[in-house]
Amino acid sequence: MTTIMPIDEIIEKIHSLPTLPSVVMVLNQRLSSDHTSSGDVAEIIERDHALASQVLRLANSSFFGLRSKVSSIRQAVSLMGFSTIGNLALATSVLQHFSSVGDTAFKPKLFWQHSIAVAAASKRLAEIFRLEQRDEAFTAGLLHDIGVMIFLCWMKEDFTRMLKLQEENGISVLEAERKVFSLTHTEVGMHLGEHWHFPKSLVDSIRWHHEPNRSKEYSDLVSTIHLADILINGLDLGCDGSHYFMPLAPEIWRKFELTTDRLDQIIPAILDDAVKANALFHSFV
Amino acid sequence: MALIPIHEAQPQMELASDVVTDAGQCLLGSGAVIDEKIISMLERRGIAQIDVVAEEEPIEPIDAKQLKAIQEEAVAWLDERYALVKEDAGMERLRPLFMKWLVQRRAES
Repeated sequence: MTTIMPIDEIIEKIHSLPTLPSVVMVLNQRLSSDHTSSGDVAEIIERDHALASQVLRLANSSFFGLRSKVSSIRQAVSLMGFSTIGNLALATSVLQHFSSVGDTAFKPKLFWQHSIAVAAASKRLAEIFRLEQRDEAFTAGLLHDIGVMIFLCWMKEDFTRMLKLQEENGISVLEAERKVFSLTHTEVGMHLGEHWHFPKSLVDSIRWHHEPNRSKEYSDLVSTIHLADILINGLDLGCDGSHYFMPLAPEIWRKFELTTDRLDQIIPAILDDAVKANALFHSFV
Repeated sequence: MALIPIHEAQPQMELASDVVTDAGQCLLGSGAVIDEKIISMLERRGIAQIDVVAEEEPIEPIDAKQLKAIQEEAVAWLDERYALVKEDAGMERLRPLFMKWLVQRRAES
């Protein structure tokens, strides 16, 4: 027996969530603007010393591979670009927001292992595909399933029920979520992204990562997250709450001129990146 | 690479990434091998954790029987996960890849 939660109740809960630190909210607005400069982004991040030091730690890690070491946000921005640094600041802040979610039948640690691996794979694929939005790929991959965290934070018992429902009824995670929560994790994540003023490219990645052809403006980025998500699930890295695989959008092969041989060559790098990213980010979650 | 709390640091460990203070000052570069003196210095400077190169344990070769068991387990796992996308041509193209890498990863672990 399933109970449907009123959609309004879920959306109201999202809107009552505390906002991210003001620095990050301002940063999100600037990242969405066409008139933002490197100096603007550096100046905003430097206002929050804790955030700035976390971002510096990430920028200096071997995963992000800067040739020279940086000791200031300004330096990091000038070497890595304001979009990369701004997105890292956003990712750090969101991860810390959800760091206290306790274990249930579903382990948040496995969820973050999946998300971090998708982030690493998205970054790698975006570089290989030479995406215009490759600076955003890591954060978009990291946050693509953030709606799952909302379910897990507020509706633990229902979430456990949703997991069982997939297996008992042989239905996809999206169908099971709709039966239990009346909304899917992609829709809930989109509402959260809008509430927190995420850049539009991130909101699109969250909303359409299972149906990338529905994203009009950021189709390449969303398709990359979609492919990364499917690869990471197929490689059994972490767990996103889905019991069954979701379909692969057919246009992916042509869009990125993919072959299975090419993917076979990319997978070792993805696996290596996933391990490094997991070691780097696991202290946040 | 493994992130460890500073109190678990041991002499002879190699840093996998730079040690940077909250103020952004780089204290040690990746590749440096730490000793007792360095560990004490890092503690004094308030460094809570460091990235070190993880020691790789020797992988014991598996025999044919173990490999077969791993392959069967991977096939069963994939069959279950593929239940809703059996007709999806793209996912079917990916299946041999997943099989190959799943077996390799499981054999290594």
